[in-house]
Amino acid sequence: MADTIAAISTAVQKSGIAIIRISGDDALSVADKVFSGKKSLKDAKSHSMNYGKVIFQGEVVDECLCSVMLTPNSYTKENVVEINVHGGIISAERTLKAVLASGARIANAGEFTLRAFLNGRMDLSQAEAVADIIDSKTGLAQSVAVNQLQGKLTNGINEIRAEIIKILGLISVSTDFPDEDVDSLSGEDTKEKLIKLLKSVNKLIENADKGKILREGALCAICGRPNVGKSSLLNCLSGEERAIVTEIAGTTRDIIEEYINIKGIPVRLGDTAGIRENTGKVETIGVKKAVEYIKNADLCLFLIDAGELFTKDDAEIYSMIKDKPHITVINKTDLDNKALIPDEIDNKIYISVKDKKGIEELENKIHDTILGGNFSSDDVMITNTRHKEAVRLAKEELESAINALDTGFTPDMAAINLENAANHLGKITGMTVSDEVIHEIFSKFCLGK
Amino acid sequence: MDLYDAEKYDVAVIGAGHAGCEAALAAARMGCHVIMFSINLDAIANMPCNPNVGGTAKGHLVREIDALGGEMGKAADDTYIQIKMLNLGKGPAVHSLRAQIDRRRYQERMKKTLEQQENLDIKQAEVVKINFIDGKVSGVVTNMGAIYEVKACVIATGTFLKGNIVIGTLQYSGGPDGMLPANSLSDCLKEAGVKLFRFKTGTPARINRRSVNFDLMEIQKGDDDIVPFSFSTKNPRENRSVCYLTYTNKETHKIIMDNIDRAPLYNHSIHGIGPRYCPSIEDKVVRFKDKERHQIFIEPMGENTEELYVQGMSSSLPEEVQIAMLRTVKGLEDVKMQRTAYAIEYDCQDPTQLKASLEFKDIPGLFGAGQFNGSSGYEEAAAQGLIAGINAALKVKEKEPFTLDRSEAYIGVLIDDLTVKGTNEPYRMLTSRAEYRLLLRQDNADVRLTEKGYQLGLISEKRYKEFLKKKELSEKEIERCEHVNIPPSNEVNELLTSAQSTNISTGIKLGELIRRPELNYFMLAPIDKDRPELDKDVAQEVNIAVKYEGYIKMQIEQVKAFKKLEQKLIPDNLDYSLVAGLKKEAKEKLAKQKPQNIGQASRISGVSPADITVLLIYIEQMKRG
Ligand SMILES: Nc1nc2c(ncn2[C@@H]2O[C@H](COP(=O)(O)OP(=O)(O)O)[C@@H](O)[C@H]2O)c(=O)[nH]1
Ligand SMILES: [Mg+2]
Repeated sequence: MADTIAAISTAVQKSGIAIIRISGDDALSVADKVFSGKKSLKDAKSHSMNYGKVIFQGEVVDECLCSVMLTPNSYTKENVVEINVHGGIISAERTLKAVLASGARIANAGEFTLRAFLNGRMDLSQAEAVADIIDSKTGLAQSVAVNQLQGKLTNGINEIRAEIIKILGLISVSTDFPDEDVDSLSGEDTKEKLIKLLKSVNKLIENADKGKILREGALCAICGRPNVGKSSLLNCLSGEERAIVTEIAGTTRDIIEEYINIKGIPVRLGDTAGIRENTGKVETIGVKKAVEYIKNADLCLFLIDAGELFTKDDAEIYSMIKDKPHITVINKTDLDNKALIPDEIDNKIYISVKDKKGIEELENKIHDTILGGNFSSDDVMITNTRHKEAVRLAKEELESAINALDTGFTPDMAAINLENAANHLGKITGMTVSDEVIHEIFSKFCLGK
Repeated sequence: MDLYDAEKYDVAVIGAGHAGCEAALAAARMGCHVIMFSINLDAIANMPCNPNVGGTAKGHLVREIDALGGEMGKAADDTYIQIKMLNLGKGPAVHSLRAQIDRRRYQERMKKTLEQQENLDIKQAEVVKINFIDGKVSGVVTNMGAIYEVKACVIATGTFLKGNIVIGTLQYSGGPDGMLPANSLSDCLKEAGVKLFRFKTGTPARINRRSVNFDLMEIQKGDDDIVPFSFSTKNPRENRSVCYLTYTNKETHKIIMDNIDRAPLYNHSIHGIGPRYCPSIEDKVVRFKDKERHQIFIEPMGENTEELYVQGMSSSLPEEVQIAMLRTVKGLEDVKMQRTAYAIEYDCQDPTQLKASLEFKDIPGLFGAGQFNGSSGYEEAAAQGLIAGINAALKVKEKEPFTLDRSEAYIGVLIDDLTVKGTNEPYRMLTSRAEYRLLLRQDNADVRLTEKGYQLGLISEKRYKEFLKKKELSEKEIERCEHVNIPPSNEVNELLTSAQSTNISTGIKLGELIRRPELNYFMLAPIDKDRPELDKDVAQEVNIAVKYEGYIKMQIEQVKAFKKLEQKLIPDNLDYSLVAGLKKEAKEKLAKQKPQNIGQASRISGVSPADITVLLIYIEQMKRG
């Protein structure tokens, strides 16, 4: 007997599609509690898609498509229902809430794959490697929108890969046909081409992080010394009174997090404890946690109190965050400006939580900083860890190739790294890199006896 | 035709080209009674196309053949007239030997070796039929009516099967180099269920030396510092001749274009599929219009002949057009053509019908090798012949087959490509086909394969002992390089300065210095006081092993991952129709090709990584019951 677990398995903000996966004995009855369609999912056939609505507490959360996969013909070999919703991360979260309220429990990280393993689907090492493939396969099969997004990504990767094959062709032709009068690629030329390629790869990786942000939310830490208004800002941005606001410095001990939507980006906003240097050493567990939290953040909001002098503590905190993406938020502008902020402190924005001034501007700035300003919907995004890993490995190989050329190795040696890179970026069915390189050689060069 | 029962043999080898010779010698040397057939004994080990052995990647094959106890390397060493290591300016993975061969001497050398080989008989006859009992090979029948009872048979028919010569509008049934074709065997194979293809290849004209003006051409010489093919050749012979380079020009191309409608390739009278890497001159001119000139190499056919090979001018245009276009080339203005260039179409078989042992999956005892398997080139043929011969012998002795995988040898890559991926053109070996090429170097072919050759009984005790000694020396020296410490001294830093290398202020490992781009093992000899006296080839191996250590380690790791998939066996009678989740195409391909392991399955075209995942999961489930 397997209890029923659920989690958001894919969430793609741009297309608005998200999948909530439910697996276990009661998957169907749990899903039926939140699903309203022509017929109940209990009566649906295995591998059918069912159109309907997600209803929670009497309210329509979203339209949805529900796919039903009955045991043993599912990924986990258990009964599986996948609810595809359209309203982005927010409606995905609500749907999950509804599912959890209906008898499922939240799945642990990797628990679907673990079940697949326990139910005899695969061994553990495979399970890890395979999870992503199957994940992306089912995801692909189910939604045209996701398909399009994936298609764009595939194109982006394929373009880079094709360029690698082209370079390999140039290198190989002079090695395999040394007598032919084709211009062979010099080490310098090869390097130049590789540096260009590396730029494209880096762009892809940058966007991969954005893809992750769109899926999982950007982690945004509010930091500043006690009493600058951190908790107030959190409450203001989230529209809820979560954090305690007091005039006593150091009230906030634990990190309080809110999941909010800033201009379409899911943001995990964290109110860190006030950090301050006390008797020369960082004290309290809360402060330690805050330091850790800041380390993991995608963005830091550095709060300063306009009504007080800029202190050594402020400077200390700034030095911790200055190398991370950050915004300096000068709060309490309703008070007389006494702060005298040093010149090197950048990315400033002035607000008053009390008077609700500058909040809209702050939200815009958060949005732009997270997405790097120049982010457009046409950019290729990596939304899947397997793809990201592949691109990362390819990047490493490109760097090794450049390094090899720099240290005096010949292009045919660097070619070994390039073949690895092309392999990481994926194979066209059954066609190996060497087939493609050879095809490239013969289509571009005139060779032979 | 009257039939009669002739003698009994263990193995019959059909064909005496480069594949047939290696097959027959290997099987005989492994103790089998072997009979080898050739339509004409004067065609034994003939080079009907270029008079070369080796070349990029092909040179690797020859050295591997040699390390396994084959004959090609030794025969080439005895008969070359010029030899050269290609790609010396590039990385060690792509250094390749190539030699110009005295064609006639090579044939004589090989024929005599065959004739002197114990257990081996050679016979001039055309095999017209193979007999089967219960689907297994039981004998061969010649055009003389002789029936030879055999236990295994290697088909190495080259371009002889239903050979068809094409020159312009002239077409006739014929084998290569004016030989008779073998027109009967194809039908018998088809009957036995073998799927045949039709491939095409071609060869350029031969001309007379007296009619050539070499003053207008560039001379091409061999190496001063000679490395032979065979690891057992101690005193390699000198270079004895040179080649020349000249070019086609606009005039040549005009003649070709004016007559292009007379080219069989363009008026569709040729149906066979030709190789992309050896297009005819008309093909080059049509496909690469912008190229103003194409290279022509003039190569001697031997020391006892004035005949020259015109590399780069393969053609099937009518003879008069050939002569006209040759005479437009600088230095060939008054050329006398001795043999006309021709194209030849021939039957070969779909090599995916074979196992890695080169035995037919569905016909026990029947083996294929060489151009019959869809490859091209003498070296590719010889490599397959050797493996087919070895496995025919092992079959007779009821022993496990001998196979090489992609991480062990170019031979492994060649056979894996052919038998797993198949080919839709005559297959040529290239270094870019070998993913683990830094491990599969020509210099270490002996390290990789001598042991195996010895186990098979193809390497003599004496040679094996020598090899072990050499191996130990190089291993010890590699080890020493990584441990010896070079302390800073004036002498050391003077040497470093003269090599434009950064001086050292603390001790440094010798290996670290060797790995500096501007240095190598040889240059550091003066400051390496305890260096043992080593042969040049051993020292070279040490240099490569130390200098490229990073890449070598990386490839060794990759090989480990590769081996894991090769070791995941697929049950023999797996019913792919029961594997849910496989794409239709993958299902069909897998069912047809019956890969032996997951690695092979993953290389079949049309089988995606997702299909492999599904397959892995299915096999795992089967195992768990
Ligand atoms: N005048 C003024 N006071 C503010 C503003 N924002 C917060 N405060 C006050 O500053 C004090 C400390 O705020 P709190 O959010 O608890 O600060 P924290 O310690 O950084 O979390 C409270 O009394 C807030 O009411 C503002 O914009 N203007
Ligand atoms: Mg607080």
